[in-house]
Amino acid sequence: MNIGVLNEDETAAIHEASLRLLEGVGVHVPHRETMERFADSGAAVDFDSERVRIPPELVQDCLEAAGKSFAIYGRDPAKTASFGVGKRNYNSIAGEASWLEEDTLTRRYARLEDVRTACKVADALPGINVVGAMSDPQDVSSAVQDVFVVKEMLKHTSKPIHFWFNTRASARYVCEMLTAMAGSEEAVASRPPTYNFLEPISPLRFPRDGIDLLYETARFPLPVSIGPMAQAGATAPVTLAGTMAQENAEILAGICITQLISPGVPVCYGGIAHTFDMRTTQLVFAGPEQALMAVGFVQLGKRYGLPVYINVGLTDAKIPDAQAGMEAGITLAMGAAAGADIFGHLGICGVDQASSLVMLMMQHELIGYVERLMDGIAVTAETLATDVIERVVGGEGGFLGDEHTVRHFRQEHWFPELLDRRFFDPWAEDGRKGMAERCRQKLQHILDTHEPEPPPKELADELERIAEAAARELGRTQHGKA
Amino acid sequence: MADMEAIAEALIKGDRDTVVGLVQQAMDDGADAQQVLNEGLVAGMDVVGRRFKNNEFYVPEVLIAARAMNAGMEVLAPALAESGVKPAGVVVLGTVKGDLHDIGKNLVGMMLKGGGFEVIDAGIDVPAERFVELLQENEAQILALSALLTTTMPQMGTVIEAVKEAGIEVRTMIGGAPITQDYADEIGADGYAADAASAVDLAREMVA
Ligand code: B1M
Repeated sequence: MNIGVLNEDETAAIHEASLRLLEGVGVHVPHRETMERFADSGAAVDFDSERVRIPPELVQDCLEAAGKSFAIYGRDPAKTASFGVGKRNYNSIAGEASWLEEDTLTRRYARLEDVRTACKVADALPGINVVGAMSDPQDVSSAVQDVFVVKEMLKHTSKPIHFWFNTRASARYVCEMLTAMAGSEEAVASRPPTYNFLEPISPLRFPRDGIDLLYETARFPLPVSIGPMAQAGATAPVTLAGTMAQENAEILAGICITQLISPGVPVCYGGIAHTFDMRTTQLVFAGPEQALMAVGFVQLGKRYGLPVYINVGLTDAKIPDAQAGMEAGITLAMGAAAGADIFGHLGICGVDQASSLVMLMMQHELIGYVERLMDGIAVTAETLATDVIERVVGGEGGFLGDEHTVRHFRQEHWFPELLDRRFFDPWAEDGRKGMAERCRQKLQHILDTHEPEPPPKELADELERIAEAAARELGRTQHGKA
Repeated sequence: MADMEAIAEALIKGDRDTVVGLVQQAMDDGADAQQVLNEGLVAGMDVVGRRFKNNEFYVPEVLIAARAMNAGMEVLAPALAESGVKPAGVVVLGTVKGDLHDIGKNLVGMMLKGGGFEVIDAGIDVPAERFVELLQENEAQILALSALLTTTMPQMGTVIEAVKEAGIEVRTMIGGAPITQDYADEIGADGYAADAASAVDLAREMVA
């Protein structure tokens, strides 16, 4: 299954428009060493305005140099996520500012304990193969936030992890932790436990810190996903094609940056533009335009031969309700059908501001649904089953008890865990529960029963030691926080 | 005779050139600047504001009207200054230190301008000392702080402290995605607004 929304001329037109932007308008790169590398490679660099104009040849060279597939590995090396090989990966969100309290439907600031819970829950969900921290803990000093987050993550899941790096200074300690877990820097390089995220600032700018920390993770290096969150109508043209041309230019410039720092480092094409709601001034996470652009970005990214990451399966609803199911379902189905490699940010509830574990349960059910969609329809003599039809029509019994049915039903039909298909009475007798309530029950069950594989004691001790060192070095307290 | 209704109408349409032309013409004809402001520009902006609240107008339409309003104001400025008319209020606005998010802050600024406020935009990543400096240099009634990160919101408290320490009398309002009324209360801000339109309402209350 490979759906598309753009024809070849249209993807070519977007690509050409992006190249024109990169050569004509250029990108803002507030990082001296990176500007120098650009200049050495034939880009026109204005060091005063920090503007870099990138010729199409350099873009082409960098696209060719970039690694096109990679895998990341959990503490348990059997748990992996593979990019660029036709697999679909599902990533819970790396971090959100707020946390949805499921019983009161209120928001509070996210905490470090939420990272533990998020890891434990995603660790238990077979459909989630990259575990995100889901919380940007507000009870940890910002200078060492990522260090403390990674410490908890490595302790509470054995799957590959995803979190937001903070700065180059804190990244040093995070890299130390990754090295402690893998055993050596070479081991991190050959079996990276995570990937880095470079987020250009639309329109056509880059964050200094974001670039700077690529020099730190270059020691392995870690694969890099490049994803600008252009907002159609606010930080990019209101037209979808215009937003896509700009976003594509930003991604291509980001790919150039990664290749100039670490030639050959694998990248992931993050087509994660959104629209901007002209009524409320909110970012829109899951409108029909989101599905259209996501499919278009998969087409563009695949044109470059790259693994692709898109923002689908998400919602603007503040709670895991019918709106959430509708938005997440339609967008995820389309994104998967387009052939994307990774679906990030699962577990967000309410644009891009809060995490909800109940929402994650709903999305997990959706993953099962979509995976069945993607299995498609197998057509063989055995599945066409004309002989079975003949046998049943000529015989006494129906299809239900036929051995052909028994042989195939578990593969041909998907069995949901949370979608309700019972008769009315049993459903009513069971408390007339809606989907959100069933999701809540499943969550509670996981919280009560799942225990992630703990790390070896030496590793746990080492993580504590590194976190302590980071806190000492980078400043531990900020407004009375640990 | 100057046609106030035509000015208001052009403003509602966001037709900057027509607004400037009509305002200029009115002034050339000897109209009273204060009257052009109130019955032309502000009257037009009031309609825009009402339509926005009724969901008939969306943000781009408000912004383009605000831009026409500002262009008209520029024509009136010399005459207004002469007759001692002041803007609705002066606001020092900025995104706090460590924070680079400015889309929301810019929207707040544009809407405030549309509401007749003079806005001094300090930009992004603004340290407390810079806010203090700007407040000392300008006679502002309102200090407006934006933060989008839970890691930078404590900076808002720092700014409020610094302003107090410098002995400056000013009303502070704060906003940004992670900000809540509770948080505003906690750090001693005078007000919180959830979006740009309510920021204008709040600012009006603060100077009323
Ligand atoms: C004074 O009175 C007032 C009154 C009302 C006020 C007000 C002041 N200020 C705002 N308002 C209010 O009115 C406005 C209009 O109605 C509204 O303003 P908003 O700004 O809320 O709304 C805008 C109109 C549209 N919204 C936005 O523009 C923000 C959208 C999101 C997606 C966002 C964006 C776009 C960006 N980001 Co950033 N970003 C996110 C945002 C998620 C979200 N949904 O909020 C958030 C805020 N970012 C986050 C993060 C983590 C980061 N970001 C970063 C960078 C960026 C970009 C630069 C790429 C870009 C900003 C571009 C720019 N020019 O501003 C990094 C930090 C950089 C820095 N030091 O600031 C980085 C750290 C990412 C990284 N690892 O590099 C998260 C914060 C989490 C937390 N712990 O708080 C985040 C919630 C996304 C997420 N879920 O991870 C109201 O809040």
